[in-house]
Amino acid sequence: MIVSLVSSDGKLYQVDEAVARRSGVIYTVLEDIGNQKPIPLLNVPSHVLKQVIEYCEYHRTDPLPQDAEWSGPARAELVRRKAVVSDWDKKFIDCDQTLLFEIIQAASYLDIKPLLDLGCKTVANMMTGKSVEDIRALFHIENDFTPEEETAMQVERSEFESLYNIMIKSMAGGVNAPVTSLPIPGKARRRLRAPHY
Amino acid sequence: MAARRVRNESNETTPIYRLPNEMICEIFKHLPKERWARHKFLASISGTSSLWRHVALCTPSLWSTITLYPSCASRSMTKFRTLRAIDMVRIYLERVGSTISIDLWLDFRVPTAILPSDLIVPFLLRNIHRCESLTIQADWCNIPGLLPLSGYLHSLRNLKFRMEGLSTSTQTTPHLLHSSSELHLHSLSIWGFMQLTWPNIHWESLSHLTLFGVGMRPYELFETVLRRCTNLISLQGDLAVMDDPPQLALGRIEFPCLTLLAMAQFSYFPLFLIRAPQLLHLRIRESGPRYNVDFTEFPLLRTIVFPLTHYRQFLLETCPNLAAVELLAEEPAADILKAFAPDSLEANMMPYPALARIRLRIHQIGIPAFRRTIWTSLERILHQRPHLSLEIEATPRFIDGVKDLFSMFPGRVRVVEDFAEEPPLSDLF
Repeated sequence: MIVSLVSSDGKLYQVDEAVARRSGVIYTVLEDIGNQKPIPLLNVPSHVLKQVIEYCEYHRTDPLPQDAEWSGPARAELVRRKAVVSDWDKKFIDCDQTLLFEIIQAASYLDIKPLLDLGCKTVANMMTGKSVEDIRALFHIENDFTPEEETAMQVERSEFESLYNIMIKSMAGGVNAPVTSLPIPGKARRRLRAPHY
Repeated sequence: MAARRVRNESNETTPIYRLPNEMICEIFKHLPKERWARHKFLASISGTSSLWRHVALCTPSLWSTITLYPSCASRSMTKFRTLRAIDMVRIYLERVGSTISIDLWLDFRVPTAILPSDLIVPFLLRNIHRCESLTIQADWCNIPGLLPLSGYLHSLRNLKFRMEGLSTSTQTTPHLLHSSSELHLHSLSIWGFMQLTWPNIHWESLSHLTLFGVGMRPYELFETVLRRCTNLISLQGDLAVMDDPPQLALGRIEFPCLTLLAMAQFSYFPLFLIRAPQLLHLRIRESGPRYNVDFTEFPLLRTIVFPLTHYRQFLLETCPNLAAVELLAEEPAADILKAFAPDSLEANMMPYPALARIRLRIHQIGIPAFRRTIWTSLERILHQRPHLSLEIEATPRFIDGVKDLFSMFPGRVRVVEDFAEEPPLSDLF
């Protein structure tokens, strides 16, 4: 079965029904009124819709949240895939910021949870470990705090940074290294060791 | 103010500001899992711009994982650092609002008994009732100071208890877990080299139980507790009951809902003592004495992770629903060769029509002839089973040998570069 999708700039895309059903919104539309008429997607321009269709094509066999078997192994498999970003997904989402945010918006509008998660996770990863100044530079954000607000936040930020540094130091085996580094007799050590679960 | 308005307007044109606030919030929720990285992340996002600060402060879930980490390096610094740590927790508590689903980590791994419990305990007593999840990671010597908390744990649903160091007393931990009211826990994890007598827990309400390094004597008591865990979904641990398989007075232990069973050592808790008709995933980390396992007790089993020495024994049994198998090739090379000898792996795998994924972890194969044998076997299996995919975690030398498989079977062979990226099986539930 073929489903026709119309982008906000009027371009027509024909996709397999299994691919179209990756979107929660289109899934509902197909359930309610069938696939006789083209489905207009007013908030998704053609260059974004093309990308979204490419993603859905690749993931067409993944379990759907709407499936009856959305539990047990199917859910477990999806959680696993969600936690591990595949190479294909990494390449797919490696695009300029404007397109990345458009994809996130489209994924939200079309209700494609895995794509939304992928986009959000990518942006979050871009920010992880970066300072405020780095993040502002990365996303071209101007500092719009007043000097008073800025001063108040500096104090708070130094507390956060201090805690972060203490924990890093501890993890690196500094003065507060966990006591498990003390010599422990063989059998006891064997039991204390964290297994690979 | 005028300058602020101008900068606000300038921000309006940046691509990320075109996202609605709900999307920004969704991005923030993908904060790092590591507790130490969370603090920096939250500090950065809430200090980037006024809009982001507003979004971050209006999202209580961002602040609901709280760590109290006094990190006492010396006696002189203890009070100062503890007060600062408490201030940090106060900030989190203000932002998390009235929600009770707080995940509190008490990280008291200081090696000497200098934890200022007179500062910490009164503060915790005012807030502990809001906690849904509590993780205590502490040195033995710091446990007595925390005992006053034991009467205020009623709202707890998830309790993790991880001990560091060696115990001088075997009595403190049970006292901490003994609540004045009964605990209705959803999950309980205990890690530590300790002897546990059983606290006042509603075992029937427990869904996830993890026990590592916990002494189980007397065994009869342990068995009685396990028999009360009728709603367990996952059971993990080393369950070091005894060296020889115990004889159960009351027959096998029934777990009607159990779907995950993960054991550190096969020998400690023989599988034939358990009846789990819904078991889907079985993981065994280390090898031990080989017992005959009756897999008819696990008719729905789909995933097995185990050392290669048990390879024949497991797969030759009946597992009609087996969909994925993970082989840990950490045993002597002779065993690996035996398991992968042509006509053995293929022959053993063939009875499992649902088998869709093999994950192979290999680290210790130095002899080229052995490696070649494995490569040949893998190629034959992939030829015979068009729906099978293969994931390999191995040394670069081994991966070099299977490079051809990537082009021969596109999309079906994947190298796991960083094993840590894979979530533990227990996270899937």
